Amino acid sequence: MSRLSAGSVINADLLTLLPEPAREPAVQAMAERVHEAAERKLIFMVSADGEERARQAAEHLTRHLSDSGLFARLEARRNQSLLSSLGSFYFPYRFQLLSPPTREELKAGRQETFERRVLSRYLNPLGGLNSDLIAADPLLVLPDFLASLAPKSATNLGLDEGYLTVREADRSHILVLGELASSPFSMQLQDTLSSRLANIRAQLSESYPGTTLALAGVFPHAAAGTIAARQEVSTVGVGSLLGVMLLFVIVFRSLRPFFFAALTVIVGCIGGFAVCLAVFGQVHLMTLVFGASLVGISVDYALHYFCERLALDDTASSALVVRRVFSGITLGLVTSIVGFVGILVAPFPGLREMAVFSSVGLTCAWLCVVVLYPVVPQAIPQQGNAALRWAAAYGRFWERGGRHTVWVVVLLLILSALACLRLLPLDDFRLLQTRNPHVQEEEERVRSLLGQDYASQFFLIFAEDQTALLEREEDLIDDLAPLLQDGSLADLTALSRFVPSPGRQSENRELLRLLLTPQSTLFPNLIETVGLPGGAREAFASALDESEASPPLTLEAWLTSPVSEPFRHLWLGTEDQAASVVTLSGVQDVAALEAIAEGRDGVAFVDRIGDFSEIFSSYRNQTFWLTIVSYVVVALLLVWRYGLKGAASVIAVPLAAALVAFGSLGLLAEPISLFNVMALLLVLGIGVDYGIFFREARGVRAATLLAVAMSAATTVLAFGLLSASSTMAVHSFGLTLLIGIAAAFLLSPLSAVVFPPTLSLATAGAGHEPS
Amino acid sequence: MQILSRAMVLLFLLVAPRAEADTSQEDLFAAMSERLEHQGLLRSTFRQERSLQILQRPLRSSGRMVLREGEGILWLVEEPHAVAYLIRSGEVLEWEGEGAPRRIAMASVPAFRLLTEMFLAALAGNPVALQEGFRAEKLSADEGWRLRLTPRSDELAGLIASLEIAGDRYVEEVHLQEVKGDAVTFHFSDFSTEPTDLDATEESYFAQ
Repeated sequence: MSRLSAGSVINADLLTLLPEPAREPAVQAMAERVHEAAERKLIFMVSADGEERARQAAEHLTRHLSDSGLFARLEARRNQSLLSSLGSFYFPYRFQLLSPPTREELKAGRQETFERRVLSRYLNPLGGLNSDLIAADPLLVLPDFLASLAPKSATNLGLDEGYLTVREADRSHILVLGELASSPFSMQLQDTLSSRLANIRAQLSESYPGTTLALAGVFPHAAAGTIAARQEVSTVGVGSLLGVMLLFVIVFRSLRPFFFAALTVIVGCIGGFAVCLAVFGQVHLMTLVFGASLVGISVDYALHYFCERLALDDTASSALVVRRVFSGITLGLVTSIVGFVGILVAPFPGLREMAVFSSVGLTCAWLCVVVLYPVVPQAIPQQGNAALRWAAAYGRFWERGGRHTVWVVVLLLILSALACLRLLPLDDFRLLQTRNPHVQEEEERVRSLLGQDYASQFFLIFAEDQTALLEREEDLIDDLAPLLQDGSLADLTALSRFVPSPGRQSENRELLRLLLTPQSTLFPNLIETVGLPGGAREAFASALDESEASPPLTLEAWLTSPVSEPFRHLWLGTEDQAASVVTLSGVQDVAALEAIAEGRDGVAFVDRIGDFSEIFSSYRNQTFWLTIVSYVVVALLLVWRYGLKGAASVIAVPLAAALVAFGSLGLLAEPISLFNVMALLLVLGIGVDYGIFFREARGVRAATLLAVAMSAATTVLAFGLLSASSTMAVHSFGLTLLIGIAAAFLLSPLSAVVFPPTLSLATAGAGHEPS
Repeated sequence: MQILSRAMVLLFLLVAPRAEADTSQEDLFAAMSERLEHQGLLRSTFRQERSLQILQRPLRSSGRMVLREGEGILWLVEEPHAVAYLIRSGEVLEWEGEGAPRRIAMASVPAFRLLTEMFLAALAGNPVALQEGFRAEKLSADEGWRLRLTPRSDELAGLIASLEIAGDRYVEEVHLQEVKGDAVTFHFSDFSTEPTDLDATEESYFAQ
């Protein structure tokens, strides 16, 4: 219980509902590490009219957040000496480091091109040239290499006195980069950070008027998602509770049945929650959302009891009423559980939780009706019940219509089947995202100023030691070069860009040595055009020899130097294994990247969005087949009870409802995802119940019709509210159920009209012979 | 005449306390800005002379430039070797020979960024940008005006001894003197503000 109050048993990360992609465990663990690190990044953008004000506001923000313990790293101002030491760090190794285009030119022997490029560097009005640099590096290969390390995307981002600044005509923006200490999905972190940020926003607008704060990262989305889910839990919970209460009062003119029904539901929910907690150790927020809609299902048993009671006279004992509905609700429970067990078989963590919650909850509610109701005397006002009369009227419509009604239904089904042809699948990651326009807008504002777009795809590289790792990376990057060239990949960031492998370093030096051969005209030409000192060539030769004697630049040296600070996350190695990540930006062709990683030793391509799409589409298919299997199992169960014809008429109700639901989705141009198919399973469970209730009642009885109508109304109340969810998945689920259940209710008399039970309407209340 | 009298006042104020000195600074920059004709588009020819102590002789180049306010500078070197640069805040693009430009992002190289902004500010006569980093001093000029700027921050003062800007209606000369003795001078002439639109070739550079 203490865990419950601390909020640690309720999980809000939607992705934990999904199974892990099939991948080697070590690779998957490494990929998770990269994802988690990325998820923890949080960018703040403080904007103001003047740079000074923006800086002050950024400092204020950092001051008021850094003592919270929520951040592993948060700094408004960078140590600037870091960047200026970049040059001095690489300086001793300058003849071993070549930018990719320079390396290409020299390797291909295009010395004239190389010469023209050197000349261009001298003619650049902003060359940053000085005598010291030229004395040490007359070909300016070091500035060329350093420039190649900068990200390629055009960006206005600059470092001003240590502040990451973007200057626009009338506004200055300061970026503060943070790294959260724990997952952005931790509800505890969300609560604390959200309230702190709200305070800071208020303080900023008070102390620094005109400043704005915008956030980018996973955190704002996760926090907005939690708030939305929480709101949905309470809206769905309270909304359906109020709706059901109103319905009870109208129909039964007494609150007594409502309290009993509420008790039944509460017993169900507590049972489901407790067992879930015991089995899984935690309950997902989404399970609670779906669980809240359990109200709509378990209340059916209570409803059935009270409607039966309404149809019987006052003298009937509670025990008799329970006996009369027992077979109906028991069969209903069994078929519902069969439906949920179908989900349970699927290796889908989130669905399993929901299936357990629902099965246990329903069983508890059933027990409540069967055990508790008979011992409690209940009386409800009976005279002139309007609801019962309306139900009788709808019942007569079916009984009179007879076969004609059936033809109308057949026509409806044909139209629905046609509309189903319009259905399009959606297996996108977006299904699980809450669409919060405000959060989205802030994020886009920051990203557009940042000008960087890190792809969710990346490569993982593994090797036994650092040298082998760097070589593997270089091989991979060489093969990626054509993609970089034709623009299907904008840029990549890799360790070997900062520290070439030892082999490549000596290769680079040998490439420079080619410029010293007697045939090479490079130095004579540069002495002529630029005015390099006469002894430039000899000086360069001896500098090359000198560099050869000294050891190459090692990854170790780079990793321990402050210059690697912004890129150290690329290194994932441990003591016994070298590993790294190659991050990408501007990915246009995922398949090409996948193909390049294919069959390569120690290289894995990870595409999280692709993983999810694959998971969604494969589970959409699996769930679809599971649904069919469930329908078959339920049908067999019904055959055992009602015979072939009876089973056909009962199963016709959920089948027709499912067809109408999907047809309507087709008409509404709603995409079909896993979550619509999941809803079909529930339509089966509930629709079969309706059929059974009619079959057991042996005719279109007003009491049955009323019970089914109320059950449908309560379910629709609950799921109708889910369809208003801002999360696509919940919306799809809710909408499918909304339509499916409404259709199941309207079509439920089918089970009494198609192949009517042989015992006919001897005990039926409405008393009309079927045609 | 008005400029001159104001400059006299300013010179007088230079010996006044620091607070006032700062206003005088503002006025100096403002005066320069006021004198300059701000055009959306300005074309001129340039001569660049880079005097580096290590080189046998100054490195000279010349060509044409297009200054587009708020966008950047297109720098077309014709002599001694055809090469084009597009300089804008954040990056320099270089066209050498055929094909796509080489993009040199400068965000991560502070000194480079500083240099670019200084260059853009000096050519466009953008006083605000210069005012942040420099203290101004008015020098005598035969015609027009001449300002000597010295860096405010120690960081910059370690590299740059002075930046002189001279001109009349347009910036005609920029001279950057480094602490270690290297220097670069730009001369601009043949100014024209017509046509007011970029031609197709120029457009293709700016569109990158």
